[in-house]
Amino acid sequence: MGRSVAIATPAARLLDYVELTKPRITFLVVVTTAAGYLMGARGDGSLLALVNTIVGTGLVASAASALNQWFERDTDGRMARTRNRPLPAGRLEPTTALVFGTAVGTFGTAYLALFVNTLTAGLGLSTLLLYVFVYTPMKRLSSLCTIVGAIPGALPPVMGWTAARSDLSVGAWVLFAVMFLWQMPHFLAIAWMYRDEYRAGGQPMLPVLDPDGVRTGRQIVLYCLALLPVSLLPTVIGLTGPGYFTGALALGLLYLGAGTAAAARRTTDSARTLLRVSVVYLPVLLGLMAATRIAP
Amino acid sequence: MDVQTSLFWITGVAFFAVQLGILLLLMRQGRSPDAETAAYGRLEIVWTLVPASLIAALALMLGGFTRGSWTDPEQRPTAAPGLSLRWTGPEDGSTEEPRR
Repeated sequence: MGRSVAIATPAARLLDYVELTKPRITFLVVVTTAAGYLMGARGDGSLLALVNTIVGTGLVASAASALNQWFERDTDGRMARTRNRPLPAGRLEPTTALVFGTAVGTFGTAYLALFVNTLTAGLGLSTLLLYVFVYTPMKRLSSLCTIVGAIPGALPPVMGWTAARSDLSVGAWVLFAVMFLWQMPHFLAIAWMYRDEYRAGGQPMLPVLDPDGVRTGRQIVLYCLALLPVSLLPTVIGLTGPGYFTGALALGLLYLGAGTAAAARRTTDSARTLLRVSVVYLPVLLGLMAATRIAP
Repeated sequence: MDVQTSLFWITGVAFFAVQLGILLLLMRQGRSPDAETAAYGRLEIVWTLVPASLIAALALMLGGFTRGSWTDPEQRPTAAPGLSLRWTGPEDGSTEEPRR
């Protein structure tokens, strides 16, 4: 017997499509892409080029989320946090989501190729393929999926950089490293908070394999520590001014403090505090980068 | 070294010291007779090596980018290096074509 799909008003259906694109993640992708563009832009850059980059990257990110939800519709149905998503709740047909994700991804990649540049389009396509065809299936196999998933998560600022400069110079990789390392404590905190649900969904995240949280805590502290010197690099290599250095050091110590507290206490509340600090850390750091950047 | 460079190196050394400590602990666990502990120990070694690998790759790129000058505040680039060539003519002000 097929799954029944509830009849919805056009507005509700539109909202379901929006939910399929994970708008909060897409917003984060767009913000980090814009930060990468600003860091890479010579002079003030072009507003039109920035808008084109944001539109194309946003479309690719939306497609990745939609296809991820299509792949994970069964797993999502087993977890309280995700069972009300449009596919497991039966508000959208799986085929519709698959066609939507494929079409938006194709359009987004073509948009980047036509209106930005082929390097950025290639990175966008790589991000999409890594997220959907490597990270998503790996979530059911190994805790290392978090590390693999952090690669497409760290590529949007690189895409912003390549959109502005058409090259993959060292500044792009510094941005990549900052984003990559920031994600690990952030996602480990989420995985700790929802470890019972991940276990129910058959996803062996690190906190699922580590019931007492010692390993998770160790890795949180290690990645916060790694982020500290890497986040200082933009000033060390001359991309940002001294104001950034001071701010990044303070933010990094705050993140490390929250990570150390989460590792020591190993409670859901301390993981939530770490998550909150992580969501403050990133926009403030990127804002500081943009505000103190030294135009090449 | 200026204050910024010193702080940068201190944070880097702190990371590698903690990482080394964790790796030593995990290698001991990897030899545990308990198969599950040993397997999780090996898995965590991969987790632990990833940030060091990333930092090592960045260090290599930065070394190639600035040929090591970025640790020296006097030589540190203030912007990405660019190359511009401009023909200004002979220094004596003559208008003759340069001899080939």
